[in-house]
Amino acid sequence: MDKWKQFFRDYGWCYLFIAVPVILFLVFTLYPVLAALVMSFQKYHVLNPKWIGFDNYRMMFQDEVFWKAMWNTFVFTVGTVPLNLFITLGLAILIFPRSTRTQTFFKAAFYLPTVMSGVTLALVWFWIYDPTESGLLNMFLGLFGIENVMWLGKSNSSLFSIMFMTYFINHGAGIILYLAALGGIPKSLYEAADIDHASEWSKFKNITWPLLKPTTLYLLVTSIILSFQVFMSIYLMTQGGPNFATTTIAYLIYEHAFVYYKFGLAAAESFVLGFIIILASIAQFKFMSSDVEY
Amino acid sequence: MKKALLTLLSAAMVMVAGCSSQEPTATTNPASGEKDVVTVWTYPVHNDYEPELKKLLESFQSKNPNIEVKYEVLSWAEGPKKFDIALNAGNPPDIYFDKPLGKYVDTGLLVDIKDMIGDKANNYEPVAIDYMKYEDGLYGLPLYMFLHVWGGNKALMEKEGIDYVKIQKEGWTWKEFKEIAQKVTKKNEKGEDQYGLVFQGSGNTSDELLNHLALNNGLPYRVTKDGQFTWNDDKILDTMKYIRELSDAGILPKETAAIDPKKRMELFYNNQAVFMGRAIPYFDQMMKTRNADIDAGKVQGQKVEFVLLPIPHNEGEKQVAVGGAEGYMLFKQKETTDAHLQNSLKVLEHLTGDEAAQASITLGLPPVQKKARETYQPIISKENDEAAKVLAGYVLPPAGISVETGAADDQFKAEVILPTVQTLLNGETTPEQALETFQSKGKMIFGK
Repeated sequence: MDKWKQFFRDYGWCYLFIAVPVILFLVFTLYPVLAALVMSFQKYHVLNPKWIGFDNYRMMFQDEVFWKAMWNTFVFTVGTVPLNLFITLGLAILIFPRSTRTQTFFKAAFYLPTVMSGVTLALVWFWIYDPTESGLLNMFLGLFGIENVMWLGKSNSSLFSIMFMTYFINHGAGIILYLAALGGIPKSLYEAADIDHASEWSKFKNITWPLLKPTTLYLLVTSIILSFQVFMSIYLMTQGGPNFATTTIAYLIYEHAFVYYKFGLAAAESFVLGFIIILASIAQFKFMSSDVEY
Repeated sequence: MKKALLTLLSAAMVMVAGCSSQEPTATTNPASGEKDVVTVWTYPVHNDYEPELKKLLESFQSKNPNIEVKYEVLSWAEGPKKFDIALNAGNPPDIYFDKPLGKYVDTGLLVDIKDMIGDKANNYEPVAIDYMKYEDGLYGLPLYMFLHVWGGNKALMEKEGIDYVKIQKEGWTWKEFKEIAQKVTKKNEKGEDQYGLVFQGSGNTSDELLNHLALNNGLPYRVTKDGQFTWNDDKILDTMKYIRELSDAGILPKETAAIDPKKRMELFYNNQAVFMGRAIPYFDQMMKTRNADIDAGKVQGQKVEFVLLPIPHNEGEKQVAVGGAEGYMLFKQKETTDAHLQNSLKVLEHLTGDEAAQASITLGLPPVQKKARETYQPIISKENDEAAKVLAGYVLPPAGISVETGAADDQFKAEVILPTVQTLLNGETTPEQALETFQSKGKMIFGK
């Protein structure tokens, strides 16, 4: 008994402090996840849910729209994550040598789209993608005699158009992390390289890039998770159309749950999405973290 | 220090507990002597609806001091989502503005008021009441009837010598429409494209043009009362071919698949569209207000006068206007008392009663409340008012399908019609391919 008393006297405060986030996690994360897991085996009805075993999963795997949404999500991820990381890194390297004041300006400028309302951003992009000659992109193409393009109205251009938006707006947080990481690389390494007459490229390849790998791995994992969950731009710009060309798995989940009230099916889809994200994250850590230098 | 930390922790736990228990939307025990609180979620059904609603509720509360009404005016964009979540959590508002949908009925929380209101349903236009029914149940009372047709730019029509009054009275066939629209499709004086017809073709409303024309090609119901799917023959094929003809002729902008309702209005306001769809009688008022704002320097742009027009029909087929009714519905929560339901019903009746007729008048249509209809004075232009009355006569009664068939039809619309029409409009699918899709998917979903 005294042992317990002693333990609580020594460590009780720690448990008190962690109790708050643990309770929040249990109530707002673990409980909803478990409830959704149960729901994925039910024909959900607010008053009388029915247990239907694996029917929702069966229905999901037989649905061609589900597979199309999976493919779109995959294409979106492959088409946005690497290029966005490359752009973010490039911008961070360009900003890093500048004065603190200039750095602060660029950090704020690139972070601005992240904190702006999605609806406001969508309005701007609607104007850019306007299908008539009054749209910014079509106006520009018109200068070269190119006919108007229905950016969001054609199956072959709509997903690309959504991806294109991300190339301009998703760099704020990444730039801040990369700038912090760049600041943490010892200057002596570059000085030693200078003594050896190393080229700029050689310095980047042999010093900067290896030492940025932990940050790159973190950004890669989080970016892939977020791109698998892409929803807002689809919801605001195309509602999954035309002909499901921009329907992603997160948008499909939303449609099934809140438009058709098929909450069980939506829950099943959520678990498959969650499973894929976990697998992708494990794979990234397994294949990329081996040569990360901390 | 210890005390402070414990207080902090307790506060956090209380917060968590508070958040996790859902606050009921209504007080369910009026017998205790406290005021019974009735919750109303509604929408800005026209620009000045909220002051109208406030006045209505004030008059209600002066007569019913034991009932407190809490209302919320939701946005059209986000409101339905908020309601869907509340409904599926078993905690909807007591009264909600919309039309009865199969998915609402299916939750078991939408209340059938047929036996609760007795013969009060007779106070409303029968067609409007029919639109609030599902199978044998009455799931709400109408606030107004809506009319979805086409419209025209008065100045441009006059300039082109189009006799729109005759069209309003007698209607027009597809052939007549195409001839007129072809004539007015050209470059305008500013060198901009002037289109014969602009119609929204993107997103979740991309099926409306096909719906409007199919109704006017002898296909009054996509699914009949006995569950028969009808969009699987030459009639729907001809309708889709007609849309392609309009697009190929440049009458419809070739970008229609990417034109949303906002862009459609922009083209109309910019005098780049002679005809437009979908149009409602309220556009008369909207454009008058906009013209006044332009005169006052509040808005920049060109003034436009609006003329309400019928949807063209195929030769030999009946002219049809799209219409229906919207109003207030009564919902129960998981634990609602009969007394609370009765109080909520009183609010519902008041929100759709004679005093509420102004909403319908502002929207440019005669009230659905019989008494108010007797003294109805239109506020839209005389020609549009007369056209609206004529066109309202072409609205079909509801199909009267079952909840199950309604759900299948919703599925068909979302999974087949919308994507197919989007590709028909952007030229990726031919009408013949679209018909094949309708036939095969129709068989899968409707089983016939």
